[in-house]
Amino acid sequence: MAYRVELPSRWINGLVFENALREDSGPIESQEASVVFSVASGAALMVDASVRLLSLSNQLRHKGKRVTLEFCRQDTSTYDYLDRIGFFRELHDDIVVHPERPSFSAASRYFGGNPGVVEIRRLRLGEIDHEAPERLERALMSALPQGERRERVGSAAYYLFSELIGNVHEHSCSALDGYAALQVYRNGNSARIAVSDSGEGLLETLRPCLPEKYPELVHLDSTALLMHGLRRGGLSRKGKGQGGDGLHRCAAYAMELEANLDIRMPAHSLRVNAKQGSLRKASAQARGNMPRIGGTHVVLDFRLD
Amino acid sequence: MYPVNPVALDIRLLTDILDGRPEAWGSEEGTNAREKIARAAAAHPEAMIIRISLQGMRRVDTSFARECVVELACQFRGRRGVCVTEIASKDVLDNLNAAAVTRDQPLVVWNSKEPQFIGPKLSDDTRDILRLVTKRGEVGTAEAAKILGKQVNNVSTRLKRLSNEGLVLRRDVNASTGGLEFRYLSIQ
Repeated sequence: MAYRVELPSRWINGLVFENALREDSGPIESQEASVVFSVASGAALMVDASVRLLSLSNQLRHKGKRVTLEFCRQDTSTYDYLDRIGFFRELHDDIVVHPERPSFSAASRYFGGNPGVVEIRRLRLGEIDHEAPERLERALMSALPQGERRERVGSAAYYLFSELIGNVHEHSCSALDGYAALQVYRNGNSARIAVSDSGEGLLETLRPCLPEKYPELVHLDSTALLMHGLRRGGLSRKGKGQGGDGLHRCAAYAMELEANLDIRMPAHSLRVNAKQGSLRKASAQARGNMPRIGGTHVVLDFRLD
Repeated sequence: MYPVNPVALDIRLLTDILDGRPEAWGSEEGTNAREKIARAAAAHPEAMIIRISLQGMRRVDTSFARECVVELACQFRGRRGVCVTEIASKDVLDNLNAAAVTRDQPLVVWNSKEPQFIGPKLSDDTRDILRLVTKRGEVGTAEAAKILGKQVNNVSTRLKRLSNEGLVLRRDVNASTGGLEFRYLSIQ
């Protein structure tokens, strides 16, 4: 008997993906030894859901579960999209794909050649790709008309990627690699950035340090703690003055882009609406109300005009 | 005894440290860059000021700025002066400032003829003293107190603190009355 996740026939972003997981405590903690992700005909995975599916699949395999991804034979659009962005290339070899894995990665053929559609970039722990933020920035800028807005969006995107990717390398502490991806949705005139890791989770690494390093913040619940980090910065497991400005700077650039910012951790999630000069908590969820997914998954979506 | 006009070690981040790459990001790269600069400084013990030029640097993120520049200023404060010059973009300056604020380490930045003191907020009195030291290049405690119309003890305490924080350099000279006098130099 397998734990089945049915990805429905519609646009699937991170939230829709989470809703599809909603069954007890999720596939990681379920008793079943097998997990099947079934992608319905007409399902259209957005880049953040793709990265989350990738991370979760690899996490499940790492935990010893048998993982299968099922795609519809009659409708190959999602399969082809995932192939083009490098999904199957990054998927662990032991994970079964129905009807079959691509014999040759389309991403390798298109690598860097899809303006606005950027392949999922693996963040190999212990091996920093120094050009990753710049490549992702250039891909985004190639989708925008010349002008001041293009420069501002490019700059903000660069720093978002550099800080988020830097955080993965510095704090993830996982045996599994992380991922970064970007997609421009031309019809919607918007873009989506996703950076994921499979580490302990942002709050999970921070909270044990609070009594010693930040005793004045021990009383804050998870949402308040995250909002503090976003608004004021300076929260780092190493202690005061030793970092924690990355998340704060991400928030600053999110405000500049007027982006929606989603942070998903193993036992908590937070969604924030960023406008010029303000961050507003849109929603928050805590353990008991959500299935467990390893790592920290940060998504920003914003308009390009 | 420090020289009258302190010798400066000029470091161009782009060419001397980053091998021509105009984007710098992340803590690890920042730490590596700082260690390179520190080695260069160790090889030049006569240099009392380390001037880091960011000319040509298109992107410098906050994590890099913290580990490379701000930590360097922390490391040398009270012993050598560290300043940053030729910052090409507001984003880079903002990131440097954010890093300096988080680390609670003020930093001297020269982008024009007037310096900026970024990082933790400074009081008006502190800014007045800093402006005086910058304008003159070098000033003694009694002299500064007279110009500012303040008590010598008060000014002495502030100047010592500014020296310990890395915002000015301090040197000891023989006073005409005998003994040592402290003189404070602008980091530029």
